[in-house]
Amino acid sequence: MCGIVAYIGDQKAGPILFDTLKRLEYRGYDSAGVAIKCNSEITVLKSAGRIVDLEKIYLQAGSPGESMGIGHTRWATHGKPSDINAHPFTSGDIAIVHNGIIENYLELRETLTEMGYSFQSETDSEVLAHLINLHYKGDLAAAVVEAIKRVEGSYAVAVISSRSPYLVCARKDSPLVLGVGNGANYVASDIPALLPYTRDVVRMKDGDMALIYKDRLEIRDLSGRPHCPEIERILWDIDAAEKGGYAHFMLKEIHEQPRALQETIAGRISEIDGDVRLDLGISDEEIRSLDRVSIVACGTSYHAGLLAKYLFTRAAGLPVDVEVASEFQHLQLRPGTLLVGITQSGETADTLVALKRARTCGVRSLAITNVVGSTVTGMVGGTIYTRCGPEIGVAATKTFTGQLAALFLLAVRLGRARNHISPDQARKMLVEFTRLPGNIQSVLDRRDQIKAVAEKYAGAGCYFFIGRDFLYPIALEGALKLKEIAYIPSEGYAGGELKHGPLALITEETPVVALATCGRKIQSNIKEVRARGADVIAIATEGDPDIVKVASTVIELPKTRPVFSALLCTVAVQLLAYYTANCLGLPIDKPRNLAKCVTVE
Amino acid sequence: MAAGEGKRCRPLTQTRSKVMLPVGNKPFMEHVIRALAANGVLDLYIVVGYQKERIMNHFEDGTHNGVNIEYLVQDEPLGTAHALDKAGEFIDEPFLIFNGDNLVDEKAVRDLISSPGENVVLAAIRKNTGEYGVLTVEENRVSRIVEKPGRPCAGILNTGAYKFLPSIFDELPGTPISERGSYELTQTLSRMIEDGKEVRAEITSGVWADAIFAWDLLNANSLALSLKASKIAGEVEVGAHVRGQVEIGEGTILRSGSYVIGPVSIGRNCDIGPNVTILPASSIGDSVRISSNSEIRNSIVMNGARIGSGTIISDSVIGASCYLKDQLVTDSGPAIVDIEGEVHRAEFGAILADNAVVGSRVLMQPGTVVGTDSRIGSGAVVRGWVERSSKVI
Repeated sequence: MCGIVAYIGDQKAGPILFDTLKRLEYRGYDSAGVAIKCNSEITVLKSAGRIVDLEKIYLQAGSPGESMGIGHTRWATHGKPSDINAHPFTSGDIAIVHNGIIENYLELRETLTEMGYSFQSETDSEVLAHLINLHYKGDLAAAVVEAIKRVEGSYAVAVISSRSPYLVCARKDSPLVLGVGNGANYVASDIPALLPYTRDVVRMKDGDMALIYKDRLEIRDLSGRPHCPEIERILWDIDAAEKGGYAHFMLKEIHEQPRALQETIAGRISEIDGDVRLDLGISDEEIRSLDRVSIVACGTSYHAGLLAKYLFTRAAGLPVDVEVASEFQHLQLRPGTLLVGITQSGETADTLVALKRARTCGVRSLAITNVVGSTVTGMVGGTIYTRCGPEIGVAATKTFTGQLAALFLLAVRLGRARNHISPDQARKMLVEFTRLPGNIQSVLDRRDQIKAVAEKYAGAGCYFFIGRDFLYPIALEGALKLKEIAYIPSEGYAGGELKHGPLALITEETPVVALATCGRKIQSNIKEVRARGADVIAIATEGDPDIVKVASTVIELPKTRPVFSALLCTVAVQLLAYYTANCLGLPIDKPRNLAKCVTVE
Repeated sequence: MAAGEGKRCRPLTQTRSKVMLPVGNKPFMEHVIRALAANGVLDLYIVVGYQKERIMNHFEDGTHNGVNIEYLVQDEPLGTAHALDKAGEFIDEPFLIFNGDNLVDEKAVRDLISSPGENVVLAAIRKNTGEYGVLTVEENRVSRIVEKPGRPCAGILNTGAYKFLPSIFDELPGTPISERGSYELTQTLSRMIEDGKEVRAEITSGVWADAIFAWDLLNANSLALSLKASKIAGEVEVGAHVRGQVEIGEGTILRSGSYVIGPVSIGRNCDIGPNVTILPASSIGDSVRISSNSEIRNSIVMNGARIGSGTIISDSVIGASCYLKDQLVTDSGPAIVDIEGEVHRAEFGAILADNAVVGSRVLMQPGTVVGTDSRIGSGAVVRGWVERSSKVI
């Protein structure tokens, strides 16, 4: 849940550390700190709050330090956000930054306290600093190895010492990337942070550590066996991640959906064959022998999984379970299951844990992710990339529609392999599917109407979203978006479930968003809430003659198949949430307490 | 300058501004930006307004075109002088102004940059200047600007591209309001000329082209295509032929039996064929599907369009995400088109705006114009102007 960076080279470390930290800020942002080597000592600066606050402290201190340092931006999991709990942690002349969770930290903390170490913070990471110090006998790399051997859990760590000419980093189950520069080397939790400095990167493998000098890298595994760094040249551009004229990344990413979807689809549809080309690493024979599909995911990705439940059942005739990844470990995995993990970042700890279990149980697994080469891709039999490009806004938008599209393609592939749908049925669906980017563009063109609706109801204390069938997951997603960025308590319900309880909460002050592009039964649900005096904002197919009679406001969407209207409704609720939050003046790209990529369980 | 709609290019501008209309498979403005970048003009301020999202989505911060873009928003269409005023606070050195909705090449930009004057208008000599500002020039010095003389006459026209010193910003406040209720730069210039200030005209021999009406896009497209080199990144199946200057984007597949004669540009991720003929001078956008036995000639097909089997499209523009079922024929020839009460003579096939859905076996007579989101039923014979979101049975 945190971001770490490090620098060693010829320039002053401070400004470079701050710049790279700012690019990681979306990973978490309640406190930050740096440790910089300074006249054979380590200077540590920390601050609760944003990187800019820390930068002010650095400038007030007279921009101390030389050309080697580490930095950290944190989102609290253990311990409150405060100066004390902020990284880096020091022990003797060692300073570390750590991302991950040390599971046996209480036990280690006790042992270390008995040995005379005193703890300043409530965090698990400080244990690691003391452990390294304990083992430090002049060889920093050896000390890190010894310390790591005693730690259970996940880590990406960067370590400096005032006595060591190099810095050390190591990773297990937390992301870490090295950047190879000219007379300088860099470390960061992800690639975009490094791109202004270098395009040559080394993605560290699990269980590896690196000794980083300003002009070379040495990579070893924990037994000390060296191996050659695999340098990869990054061709994509960081600027794709910049706002380009939009007020927020989220709005930009909402508008990128037609193009992102084109990318998701590109080269995967063969209209002539009535089939989908996906590299799943599973033969048709094996697809036919599957008994069921289990989907694990968190947050927005979980909602994508819920839609897949409807899709896979109908297209491939397979029973489907969808589980929140963090709950999956408490459930049983049956043989003959295809386990599908959905994670935007490919680093979501809960989902990774679930997929690891699949591997130990010997069932087939697939991942749907947006990040090429992310941790999840190494754990599964096959990966479907959503190819949406980097998503910076914390609230997932284009990657959600990308996931839905990928799941639809997967449903058709499974259905075709199992002969549950005919080539001609598949062809007709795929032809309609390829029109989706254009339809989404039409929804975007209705932004002014959605904006007006959002502004009208922005003062609401509570929002409801209802939908049936393919639109039930979208009702949940709409409610989540509104919670995430507009901080309005919202509930998503299956249309038919409303009368079994939540109806009691509906009053004249509760706007209800009814997703009504799929079936007519929703109309009676709309009448139920209208009878309680609530305003109903119906999102419906254009030209629907009945909906205007029951709803207070109608947002019309282009006509398409019900399953694809789920994507169109998604865009409409995204815009609704965005304009509501914007009207309330909230920090849309960085909502409070949330981080983009959740790398802890 | 990219804030206006370009109303006369309707219905294609119902969903995007004119700067985003593709010629040679790139929006007008991308040609302008590339010509500027090739001359080392890398810091751009783009004044946006109408449908700005489409512009920002496409160009982002300018990196793919090697430039650095800042967007300035002009919410009301108050003219070029008003738009320029938006940029005043950012500019403190000599600068250029270009319209985003014209086609220019590197040479035209170079001519303007290297002109010795301080206030320079990029001018072009044309046989017909009826729709533009016409300059009276004496020894490179502009002595008079006549707006839209209206009748066809040969002369020196104002391309709307300028080079100025930052001192121009002091002149803007005095700009009189025009008959159209907006503040136009040409009025500012006219006043400067009256005050005896030097305004130089630089007559370019480089490329400069405009599209007044939607069907004029076809000429600009042909011109833009002629500037391109061949490049085949996609897959050409055995049995498909490609001749002349042809560009085929990554991820595109040209299936067996297809025949493509350049100049033609085909975008990325298209699926074309089998047995499709594409003749000069045609541009096919990204993610386009053209089914078997269809023929496309001298036409523009925009991104995401789907064209059924046995279709013949000539001298036509097919908007983004149009969905044409089988056997549409666009008949090409002279036509009289009525635009908001004004009658124009033109020669083209059909113009289909975005998202039009056309059934099977439809005939479109010369000069057919179909608005955004319209639906045409199977077997229909269509002529004239079909309004936005109409249904034709």
